[in-house]
Amino acid sequence: MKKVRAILGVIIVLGVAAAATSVAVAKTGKTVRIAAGPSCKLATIGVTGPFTGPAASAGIDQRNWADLFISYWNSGKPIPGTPKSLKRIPLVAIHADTQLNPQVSATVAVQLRSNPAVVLVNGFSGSQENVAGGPILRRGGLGFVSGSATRASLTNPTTPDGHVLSNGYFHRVVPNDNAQGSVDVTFMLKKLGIKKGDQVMTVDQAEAYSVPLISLMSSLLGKAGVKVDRESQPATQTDFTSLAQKAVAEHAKAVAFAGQVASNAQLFLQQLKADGFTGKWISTDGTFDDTKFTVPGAYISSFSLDIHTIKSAAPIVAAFKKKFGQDTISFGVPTWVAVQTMAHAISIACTAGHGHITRTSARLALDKVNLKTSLIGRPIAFQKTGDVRGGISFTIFQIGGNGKYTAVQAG
Amino acid sequence: MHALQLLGYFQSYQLTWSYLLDQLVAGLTLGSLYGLMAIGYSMVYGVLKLLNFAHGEVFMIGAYIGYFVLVALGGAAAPVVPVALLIILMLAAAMIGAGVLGVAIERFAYRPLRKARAPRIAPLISALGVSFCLQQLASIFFGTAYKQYNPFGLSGGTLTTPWHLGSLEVSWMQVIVILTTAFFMLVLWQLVTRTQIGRAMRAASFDLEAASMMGIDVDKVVVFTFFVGSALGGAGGVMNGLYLSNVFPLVGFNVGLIAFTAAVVGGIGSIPGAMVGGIAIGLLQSFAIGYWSSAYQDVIVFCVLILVLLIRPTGILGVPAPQKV
Repeated sequence: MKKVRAILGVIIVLGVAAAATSVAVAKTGKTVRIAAGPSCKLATIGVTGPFTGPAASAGIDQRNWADLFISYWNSGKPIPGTPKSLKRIPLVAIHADTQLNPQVSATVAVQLRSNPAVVLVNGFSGSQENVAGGPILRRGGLGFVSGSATRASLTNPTTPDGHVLSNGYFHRVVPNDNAQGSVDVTFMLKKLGIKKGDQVMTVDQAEAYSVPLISLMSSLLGKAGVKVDRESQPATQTDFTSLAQKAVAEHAKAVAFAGQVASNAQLFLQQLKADGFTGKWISTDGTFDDTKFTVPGAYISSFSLDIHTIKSAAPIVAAFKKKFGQDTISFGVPTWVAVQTMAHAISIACTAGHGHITRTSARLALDKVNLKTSLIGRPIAFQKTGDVRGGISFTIFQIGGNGKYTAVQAG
Repeated sequence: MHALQLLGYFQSYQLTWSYLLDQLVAGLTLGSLYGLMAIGYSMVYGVLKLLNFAHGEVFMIGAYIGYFVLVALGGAAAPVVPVALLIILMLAAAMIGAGVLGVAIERFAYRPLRKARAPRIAPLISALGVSFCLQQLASIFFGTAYKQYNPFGLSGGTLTTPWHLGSLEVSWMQVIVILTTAFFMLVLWQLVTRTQIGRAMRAASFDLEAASMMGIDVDKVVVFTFFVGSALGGAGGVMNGLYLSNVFPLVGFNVGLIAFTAAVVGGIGSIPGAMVGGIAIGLLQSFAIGYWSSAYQDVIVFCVLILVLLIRPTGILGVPAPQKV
């Protein structure tokens, strides 16, 4: 009888595991045939992002833009910034979900590094993911281009992060957090009416993305004579009641919040409003998610432009809607540009290598990419550190009564 | 209070009664959630001397069950039943679901080890294994994206809008959380002290083997303990969602760590101790944020708790275990 029970138990456990596996496999989507090694006939790239988890909405937008770019590229459709004369090497993408989790991104990095066909990687989305997974990609000789990682230190070779990542491996097509902090504070001072002597509460989520960003913003506000109450609430501690009461009691004119969980921004602002907070709210790009953060009146900064405001992009935005059955939240637009730089680099490397490509040649070719224009209407080329040359700035959005994000200050 | 202001540290608003009471209510509410969950840890430890680390995940599953009931009944903004009934249905479903899950965990992950007289470390590892399994399964089946109860949409926001009673500012949602916890605590206390199964639980908690020799069906007591403790955890999950909105696969793990601490500080094995420990941590967190800085909340909370344990190693309401010679 005991044996029967034990066998029954094992069968139940295996059944649950099998069901779980089938769901997981179903969620990962279609499989693709991949060449055994780097190829100029069909080049393989990794496309990473948080396709599930707290930032899934943003990650799926990124994946959709990457996929749309690849379909445009492979079918020979006109692409802003890509000259007709450029030989397009067909691309195939391996999607990898990082869940905005550094440990998962490290695992993903190992998988991509071990796949000999992969020549370049799009990602990682989060700064902390680059810190965790970037060194692994580097050891595999892989260059990678992020469409959303904004931490300033990633491209600063004098910092530990930048020392490892910024030597020709990590690239990004978005501005860094120094720009974000500065834009947000300027917006608060010039547009939200925050002035010398006013009280402002600044809140980070006690993690690598938000702490330096809020530190910078607090410092800039302090220099402007604003009284700053600097707070730090771990993302895992989801009760903001006491902080909300404190902000109301100290008559804070504004709350500046940085974090990567949009639902936390939603809860905090709702608790603030319930306690009678009438000041302004501004939060950073990590909270940019129109499905989870929808409190009307809030301001959010984003590295991405509102793609709907760029007329030349209208046909591509329409194609996006048609292909994916939904409009873009604009968060993923820079990922199109990131994949475009990778596609150009592969073409350059294949041409220079007379039909042969290696990870090293593809990575070095990233520095030769020079887009005269791009989907976001701006030229793109990389500095030695991996940052974009010239000035891309942050856009400020405001949430409307219907929960829709509208750009109120262009970047 | 004026003396404190003279010290120059506190802001004037921090020394008003209304602010003090605000923090008190916030701390009591949060502490009630911790306490409700801590009871589950304490009950199981009391009977089996087992640290049931899977209890946090039972809390999480309860929160998800409540969420799915909420969605099935139209969501927070437009429920198809009256709000009071909605909350009762959510609690009932979550308590039954979590209770059954707790019993299943005991049956398949702990009892075989208990029967085999495995070393004490074995069920501990088994508990951790169940905890991680449930987290992963929740991630796969429910997704890792945060689900929102949206309590601010319930009854047009009236439940979350504070009202005043003199200097006291409190919302109906806070009242619901505190009173519901008090109600469950009272029912549990009656159950443990006034019923036959309660007496059996106390006997088993004192000495499992002796209780068995006295004719008590120990397996039945253990199953009942797991059901009740898990049901309370499930109720805690729903109230956590109603108060703090967000549900995600790791929600129980995070709250569970604090609740486990509460159970130890209150005196593990003691039901009132678990509640006292939970409320103590909730109040400490709230006052740390309100009067110092959110950045130091864990430092303050855990320093105080270490101090308490140094002074009373058995916890606030714990009693030293009798030494059997």
